[in-house]
Amino acid sequence: MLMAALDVVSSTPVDTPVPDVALAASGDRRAFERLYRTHLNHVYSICVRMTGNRARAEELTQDVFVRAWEKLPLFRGESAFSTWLHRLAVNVVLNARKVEGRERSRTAPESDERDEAEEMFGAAEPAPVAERMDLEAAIATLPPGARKVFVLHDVEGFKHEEIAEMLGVTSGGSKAQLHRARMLLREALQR
Amino acid sequence: MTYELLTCEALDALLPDYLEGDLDSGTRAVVEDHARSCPRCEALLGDLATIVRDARALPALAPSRDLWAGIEARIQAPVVSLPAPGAARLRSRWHATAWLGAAAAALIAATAGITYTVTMHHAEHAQLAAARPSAGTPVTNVAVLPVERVYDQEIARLQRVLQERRSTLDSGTVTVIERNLRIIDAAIAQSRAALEKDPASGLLNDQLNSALTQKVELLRTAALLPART
Repeated sequence: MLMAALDVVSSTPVDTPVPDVALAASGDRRAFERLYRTHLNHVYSICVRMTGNRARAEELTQDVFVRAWEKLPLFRGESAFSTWLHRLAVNVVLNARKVEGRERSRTAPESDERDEAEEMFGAAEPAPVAERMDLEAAIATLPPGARKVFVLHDVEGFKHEEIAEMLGVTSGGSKAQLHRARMLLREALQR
Repeated sequence: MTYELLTCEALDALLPDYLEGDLDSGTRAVVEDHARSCPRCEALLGDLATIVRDARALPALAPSRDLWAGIEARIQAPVVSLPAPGAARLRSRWHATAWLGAAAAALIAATAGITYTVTMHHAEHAQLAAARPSAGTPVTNVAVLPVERVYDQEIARLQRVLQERRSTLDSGTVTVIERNLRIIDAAIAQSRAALEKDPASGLLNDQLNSALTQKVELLRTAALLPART
């Protein structure tokens, strides 16, 4: 059944033991380093897939963990730590993009979105040789708007309502971008 | 509207809702019936389903290097504050020296984490853990060093940190920082030149102290700036 193919459960990273979160929130850097080691790859994956640029993603990943350290005392445990951290990562990437977009718009207001993204994040880099290289590489070629929605929805599992809030668009706009992204990916993967 | 004679174009229009699972069961069945009898639409639905499935199963990616050293450097420094400029009014060379000694000790305590981490991050983490200076731990050997030398050493360390992070910072911000550093350096040079002629001047010691503290604070702020944000 076609719909059955869509019902694959998203792989969820192992969540963090509560004591490390509490210890880190109280200022224990060793506990925070353990949190970093547990969640590094997932945070980095969000950053690299949303930006399409590995070097920039490494910088943003550092920013995410610095922000997490600063905001950790405010973490109330209302959601899993991983959920809180991943949403923080998305916000850091989106905020960085807004800042860089404003800077760039002062110098080249006529450029289209794709050129803007390539200058901000560099041209999309090919992923390393891996089992999923084709899809990774295809995601990196998506226009920024479609790429963000695809990564947030299909890779990270956010709902359209959440994506709409994060990106400042409507749910309908998010759905339209997602469909566009999937169709573009199909085209790219068939080349 | 019924979909008994669903066209490929009509199926295309239903695709987003179909893939989201937003169609009622009857409409979904019509879409799937059409797909079974239409190679073009069967391939389309199959391809999109594969993309959605593969996206959910994408493995996590790993950065090309360990990012902890840079993170630790940025979260470690602000634990101990430097004395606020003007917190103590200096009235003599002796008092100035004592104040500078206290400020230098606080400075070393505050920035030791940064310099240690950045300069030693290639070494084995476990071997170094026991020797890592704590941001809140007084550094007892500071007092035996000449005060200005302590400042100079720490400034040099912070400048190395800043140099290492320079390529990750906004170029406009770096320009402003460097311009301000030149202004502070000029003030330091003038104070030192004047102190050579009048070493007992409390006012000149105060000015030198203030300029050195400003330089350290500016360097420390710059070393902790987030990358290009």
